[in-house]
Amino acid sequence: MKKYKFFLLFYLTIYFLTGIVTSNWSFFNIFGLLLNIYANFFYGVQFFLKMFTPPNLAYLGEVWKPLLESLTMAYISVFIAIPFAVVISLLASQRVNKNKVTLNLTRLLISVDRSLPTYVKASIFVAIIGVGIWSGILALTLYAIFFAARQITNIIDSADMTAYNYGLKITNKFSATILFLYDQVLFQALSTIIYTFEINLKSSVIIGIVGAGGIGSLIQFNIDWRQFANVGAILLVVFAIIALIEFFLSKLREVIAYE
Amino acid sequence: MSNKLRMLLIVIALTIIFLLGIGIISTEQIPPLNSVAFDKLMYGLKNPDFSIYLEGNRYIIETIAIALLGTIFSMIIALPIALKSSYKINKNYKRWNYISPLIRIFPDLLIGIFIVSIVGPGSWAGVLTIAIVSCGTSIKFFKEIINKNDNQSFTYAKQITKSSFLGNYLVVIGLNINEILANALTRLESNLRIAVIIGFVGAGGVGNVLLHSIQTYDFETAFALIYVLMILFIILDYVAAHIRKKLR
Repeated sequence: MKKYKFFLLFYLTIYFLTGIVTSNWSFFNIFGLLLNIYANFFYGVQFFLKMFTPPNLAYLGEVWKPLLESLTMAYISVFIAIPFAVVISLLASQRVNKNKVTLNLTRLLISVDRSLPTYVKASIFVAIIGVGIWSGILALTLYAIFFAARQITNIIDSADMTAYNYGLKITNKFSATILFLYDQVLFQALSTIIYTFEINLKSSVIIGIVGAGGIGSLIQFNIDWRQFANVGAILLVVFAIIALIEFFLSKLREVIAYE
Repeated sequence: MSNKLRMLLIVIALTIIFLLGIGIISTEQIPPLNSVAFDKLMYGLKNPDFSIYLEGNRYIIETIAIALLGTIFSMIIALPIALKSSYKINKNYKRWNYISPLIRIFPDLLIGIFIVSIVGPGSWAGVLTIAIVSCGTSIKFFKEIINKNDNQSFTYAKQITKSSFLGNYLVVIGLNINEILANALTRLESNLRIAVIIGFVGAGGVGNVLLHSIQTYDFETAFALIYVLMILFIILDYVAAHIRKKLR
């Protein structure tokens, strides 16, 4: 009997979760859903492919400007975020910052920011300062600052600190941080910042559906007007560009890792 | 010398891209602050209106359920694919390696739009979306975990299970159950964040109400939702860190 206890518990959890999600409380609700997938999903995929293909290639002329806006939003936000992220990561590191008050305050700030997704922030900015590229840039910047700060804090806390502790003996804290800690952490931090840029790139493509500029607003517009051939053209360009940039960035990260 | 030259070239390219970006942005003026909305925001920040929870709806519970169910499904999908794409188990691993980068190219909300247009709006669309989005990252990490095992354990597995796929599956799960569970917890954290926003495109959860209340300047309701979500995330962060420490 003990053998089946685990499976029973597993099935019961799935049963309750499915019940909450679908409001169907019959005991075999999950199998009903799987049957539903089997019946409808593949037909849906066929229908979906029929909708988006063939893409309307004449529409590509209008895609370029919003696409450039999206890319700009992604990397401008990372450029703005880097200095703030470095300062906050130093403040939030247990090893560098010995002051308990500022340490816990910055950590609280990071976890508060982490609990607000980028799109929620973007929609709040759209409500305050209006539709456009700037609300998107602000939201992406906030995300990039705190995400990069959190990752760099982890890197600092697991780094080799002998050089830094030696530096503390001969100079003051500021120069020791710049001269010794910087050297230990630099390449990992650079790779983190590239990763942040990748995440922001993906967010910036779709952030326009809440009205924050970029190509997302074009996608939303075309879906609202049922112009699915145009959407197919947009998606073609977007995925080509994202795949290209990710390929180059992965090469760049390899170069950084070997330095 | 060549290293320095390469770094110099990278820096020059970055500055050129930066200047191009400034050129694009400078055509867009910085919009003025909407002071009415800002006042409402500050009022809502101080006085959240929790009466939305008394109306018998269950946005938060639904969001948590979507995230949990999506995580379970993504685990069930991701483990076999990760086994197939590990070079220690499968000889033809290369064709399976294309799956996870292909999924990870798509942004999460875009997959949400696709799934909603396939299966229709509702919480079930959110579950499928999270299962697919989370699958992309899970495969990558599981592959690394599986490849970390030494060859000895796989030869034993072959002897015991006559190299059947299910046998390998169970042996690998049994060997790495702690790391897989720790990974699932990390996935759960990020999946909960996706489950909050997935409602923006009509795929269930709290997102739809949240977006509507922000767009209509009803910040008292919006911050009532956001504060509860914040507490939820902070508790989850703490609990997950504690459990992960115990698993290692």
